[in-house]
Amino acid sequence: MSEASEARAAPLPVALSIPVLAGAAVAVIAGVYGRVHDPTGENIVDLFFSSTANMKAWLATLAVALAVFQLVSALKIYGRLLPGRSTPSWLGDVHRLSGTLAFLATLPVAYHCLWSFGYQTGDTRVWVHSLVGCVFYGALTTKVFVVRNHALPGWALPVAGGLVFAVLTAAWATSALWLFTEVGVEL
Amino acid sequence: MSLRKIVDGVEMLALVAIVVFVVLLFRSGSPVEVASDDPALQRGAEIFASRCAGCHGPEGQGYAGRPALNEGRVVAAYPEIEAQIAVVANGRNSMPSFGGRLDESEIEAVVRFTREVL
Repeated sequence: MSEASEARAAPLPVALSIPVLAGAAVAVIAGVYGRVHDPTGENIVDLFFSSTANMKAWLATLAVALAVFQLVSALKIYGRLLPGRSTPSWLGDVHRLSGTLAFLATLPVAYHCLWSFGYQTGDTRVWVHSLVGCVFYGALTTKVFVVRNHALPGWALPVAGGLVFAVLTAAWATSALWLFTEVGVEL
Repeated sequence: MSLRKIVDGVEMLALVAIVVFVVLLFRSGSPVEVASDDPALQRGAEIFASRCAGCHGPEGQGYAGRPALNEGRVVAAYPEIEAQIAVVANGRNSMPSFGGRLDESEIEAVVRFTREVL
């Protein structure tokens, strides 16, 4: 490694610490709010669904579907999927759009969870869901910081994106998937 | 309109949504009103809103497969109040125990609320 590249590599922990600390702060703030706030226990809008629970489950499922698209489109953009074929010029924009829409789909879900239920530890599923729900927004914050910092090493973005995908899937599995399997699939 | 402008617009919408999200988190709820002046029932309503409504619904109507408690259902299921108090204190199946989190008077207050108000 040259002296110049060593000089550029030196501040890496600092550069990484900003997105990590920002994400940690968001996750902790969400958790503290959920713990300190008195849960209202109230429902919010149902849109056209039969209940708030079903609305949340389907919005979370939409977010996971969009996250799967994010994963596949990212693999294509970075040449890891069908490397011999060209990447459409619009794919980057559609990738950004799908991520933003996935985030928007999670907001009513998270709002009801935090405002109505709070951070609960009643049983293992609920405890894990509360934890990964807060970690999701922290991981997402970290990813937003990482994606805008081009000085970070190439592995930072896939790691941050993979973490977001993993915790979103965990949050979905401990809520929407549980509802669909234990209560039933209905709109 | 180009796709890039649509994406930029949706991202701006997301920023606005974050602000609305945070503001709405500090909106207060409106728990079930208790017509009685009995302070135990008033306290029971507060406890129900904060501890029970998340699973049983704000008006005890049930939620996401969790049982409804309203319209006399708990009285039918537990004719003796002591039996219902025991379930709240010790838990049952997926319902957690509240014995370590609520004292005896609080458990009795919330149980009375479910039996007399919902």
